[in-house]
Amino acid sequence: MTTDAYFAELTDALRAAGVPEEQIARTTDELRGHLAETGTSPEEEFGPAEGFAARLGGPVPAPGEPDGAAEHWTWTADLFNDRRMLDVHGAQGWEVEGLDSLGRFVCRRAPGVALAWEYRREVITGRRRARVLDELTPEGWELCGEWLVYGYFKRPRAATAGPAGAVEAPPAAPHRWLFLSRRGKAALAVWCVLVGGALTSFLAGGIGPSGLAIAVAVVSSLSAVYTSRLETAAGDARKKATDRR
Amino acid sequence: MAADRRSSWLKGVLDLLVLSCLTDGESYGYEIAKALDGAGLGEIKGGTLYPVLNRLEQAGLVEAEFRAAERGPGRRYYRLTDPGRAHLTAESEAWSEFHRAVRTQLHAGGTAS
Repeated sequence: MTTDAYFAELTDALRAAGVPEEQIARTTDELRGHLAETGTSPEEEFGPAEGFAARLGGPVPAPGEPDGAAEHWTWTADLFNDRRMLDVHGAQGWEVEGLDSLGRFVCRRAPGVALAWEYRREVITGRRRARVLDELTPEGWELCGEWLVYGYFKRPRAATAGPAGAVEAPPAAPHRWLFLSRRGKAALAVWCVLVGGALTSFLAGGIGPSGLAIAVAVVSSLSAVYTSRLETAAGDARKKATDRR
Repeated sequence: MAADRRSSWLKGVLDLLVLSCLTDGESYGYEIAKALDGAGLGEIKGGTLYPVLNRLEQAGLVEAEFRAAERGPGRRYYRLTDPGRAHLTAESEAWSEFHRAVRTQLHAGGTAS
């Protein structure tokens, strides 16, 4: 990967994490300066861009901004972006208590020194469920939510990092609640077009209320299944790439 | 194994080590990494150092200023804030107590010279 490609990926990941543009520019300038002095490649020096962005954390509060962190916060991300965002927010002390009926992550954060949380997502359909739970539970993972075919697991980072797993000075709760990847935005746009078409047809008298309801349900289901299949295929590709190393 | 252990030790104290590099004045990422390497703490990669600097800045323990250079990329200079200096003093003492306890225990176990 070229240096420019690395920084493009890092910029995308920081942007998806809600880091302001000005802060992204400042950070990438600083990191490019560092590389100019070390003479190393960005991957060698900083590691994979996505993980590095997660470790860099969220936005730095502006001077004078109130830092009273909310204790509860609900947010969501699409399937392409959820693990990255869980990494970012888990590192800031947000513990997922569950998923609500809309599939949003309902989180809380302890006041003062919060624990950092790590998360993982596994397919837990059918017979896989018991096997996955049997494998992960002894390692301290706890199922904290389910969505479609996926189960989300959480574990306090202190379980592996000891006292270093605490977040002594967590940043303020983000104002954003929606973190969409580029592919997620594209899928949402397609959903809006199809549902908009069904609504137009309903208003024009082409279909009745039940037809509209069926159309919305079918489009939503297809969208969820298609997104899930895309992400599963991407996950398989990542696993194969990891296995080859 | 030895490298892994050192890495774990560093995790618990790296923020203090970074702050300690700023007690005599401002510095920037690469210079801080060089100073820590020179002190025998090993090479701290940028992937480890910059998240620490970011967290210290978020916590208000350091403040930073970007300065353009005449040639090449600019640098972001970090300096200790008053809360940062107080934090370093208090936490260094806590670390020293922990270090003393470890040393005493290792001596008691007969594994240290």
